[in-house]
Amino acid sequence: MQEVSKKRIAVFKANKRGYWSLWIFSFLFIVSLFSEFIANDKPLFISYKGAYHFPVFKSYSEKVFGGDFESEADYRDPYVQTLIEKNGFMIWPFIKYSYHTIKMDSSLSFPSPASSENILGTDDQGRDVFARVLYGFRISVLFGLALTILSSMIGVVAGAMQGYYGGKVDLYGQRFIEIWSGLPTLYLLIILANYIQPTFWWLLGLLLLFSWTGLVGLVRAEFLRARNFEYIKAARALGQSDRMIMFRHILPNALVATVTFMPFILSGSITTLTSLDFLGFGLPAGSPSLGELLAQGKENIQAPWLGISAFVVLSVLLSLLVFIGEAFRDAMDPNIAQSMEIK
Amino acid sequence: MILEIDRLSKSFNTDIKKEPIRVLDCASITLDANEWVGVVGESGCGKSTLAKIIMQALSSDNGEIKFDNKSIKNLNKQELRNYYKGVQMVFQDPLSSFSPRVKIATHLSEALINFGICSKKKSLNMSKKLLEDVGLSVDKLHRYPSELSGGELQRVAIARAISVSPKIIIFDEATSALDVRTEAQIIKLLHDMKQTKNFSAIFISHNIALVHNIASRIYVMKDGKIVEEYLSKDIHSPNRREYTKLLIEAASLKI
Repeated sequence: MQEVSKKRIAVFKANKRGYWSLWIFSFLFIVSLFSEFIANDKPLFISYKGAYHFPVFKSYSEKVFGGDFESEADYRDPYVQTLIEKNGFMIWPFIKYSYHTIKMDSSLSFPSPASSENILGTDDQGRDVFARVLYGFRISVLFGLALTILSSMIGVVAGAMQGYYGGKVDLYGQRFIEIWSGLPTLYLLIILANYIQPTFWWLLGLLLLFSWTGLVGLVRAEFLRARNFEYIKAARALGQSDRMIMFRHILPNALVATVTFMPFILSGSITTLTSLDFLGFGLPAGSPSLGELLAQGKENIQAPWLGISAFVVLSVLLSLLVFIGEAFRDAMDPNIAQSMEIK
Repeated sequence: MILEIDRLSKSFNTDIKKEPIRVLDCASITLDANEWVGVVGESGCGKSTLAKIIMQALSSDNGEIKFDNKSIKNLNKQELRNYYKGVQMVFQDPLSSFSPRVKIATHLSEALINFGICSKKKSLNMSKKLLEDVGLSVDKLHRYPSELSGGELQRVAIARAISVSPKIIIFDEATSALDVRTEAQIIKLLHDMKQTKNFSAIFISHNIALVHNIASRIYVMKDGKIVEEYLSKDIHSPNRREYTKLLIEAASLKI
């Protein structure tokens, strides 16, 4: 078995496009996890009168730096900046804007084009596009991962039950899924958006209601095939419970097919979130979102940096995932395991 | 009598338009405690179906199976478990009777834990002992089934069946997938087991010479029917049916 795994890794590496895509995607994802240290409206480090402060982790009131108010210091305010710089210094992140920071001191009208201050320009509310893209990338991938993992888990359990027990469970389960997947998801979401203001978790739950059906067919087929294998009969004769047979003896074999689909489900989930955001039924207003940026790009044709930024980030992200998925699919090819067995 | 199979019948529907195929036709077999019987017949005579019905992997259409004088029809989960503690099986294809992604140690200890024979802690030691009993080295415990040879795996399968101290073990073509030399080794192992352990066995095979080697009484099957029953020492008696003679002749041709 370990031999097969080694061979699989070798096949994956041999697909240069997919291999490099995985590295690039991992790099981008890990970088985006540290967005707060790359694009933020708070300095990373302040030395004030010999004391050290870390505004990213802790909020300090203006009074700490000799200001007038109890409220949190606005480090972008020139008044606060002069106060601090008189008695110490600040180290700023690479981008001095967070995703929700509005550029107050601009003489230009929004959306303003790229400048040394805003390397991808600002959007129509005066927020830095680069910061929004960075945070938007992170939330898209995290949302996609959460949706993929949760819907795979539900789908695997549902498929396993149907395939293993067969008969009525299978019949009614399949009919239910046929009807359920026939429901128009988008309309339901639009209707629901009238009653509730979707948050990240609400949206995840709603999409999960409809996305779990994707893997059921595949897992069901694997279980239907496997439940007549001799080792399943042997396990049953050795007093194994149904649950143990399903999850210890059949699932590991069905998992290969399941895992193969995951990168594609991930890219599908990201696309769904983006399209909902684009239509305005997605994440709450103000959230960093690639779909919202695309919508802004559509509204502001005179400001091409909006649409182009969102387009480039989305297409790179989705292409990377598809390339990774392709390499993954080749590596998981059952023929590899079979050719090893013949040897 | 530990197992009594009384006029068992089973048909399969392959095509709605066609007549169902009668795989077992009033087959009756009896088995005494510590007795080893053989069931011989050519491919497709219903031997494996018989084994599957005894193992309750299939249900019969007609007839009855009594284990320890109790019918095994319509057992509930707990009763079926108890039944399996008494009746175990060794399958034909060693590789396909072990799930590929589970290590040998787990395969062996699972049965021990499930039937409450020993605790989780002790199961590894007990598995080691079981492996030694069937002549395998202990390091095989941490291998996957695909890393063992067919003969080794079949030894593990025998160890697994014996681990729960069953009253009956069914060997369904247990050596057919092995080469001649490995087959001889397994048969030798079974002979040793016959001396040291107490269990009855039903040895199902197409190879009449092999069955003679190991079973004291033999049933000959043809087209789902038991056509003859005789003691293996009476093999050359002139009373043997034509079909049995044919099988014996075919087996001796090989040598």
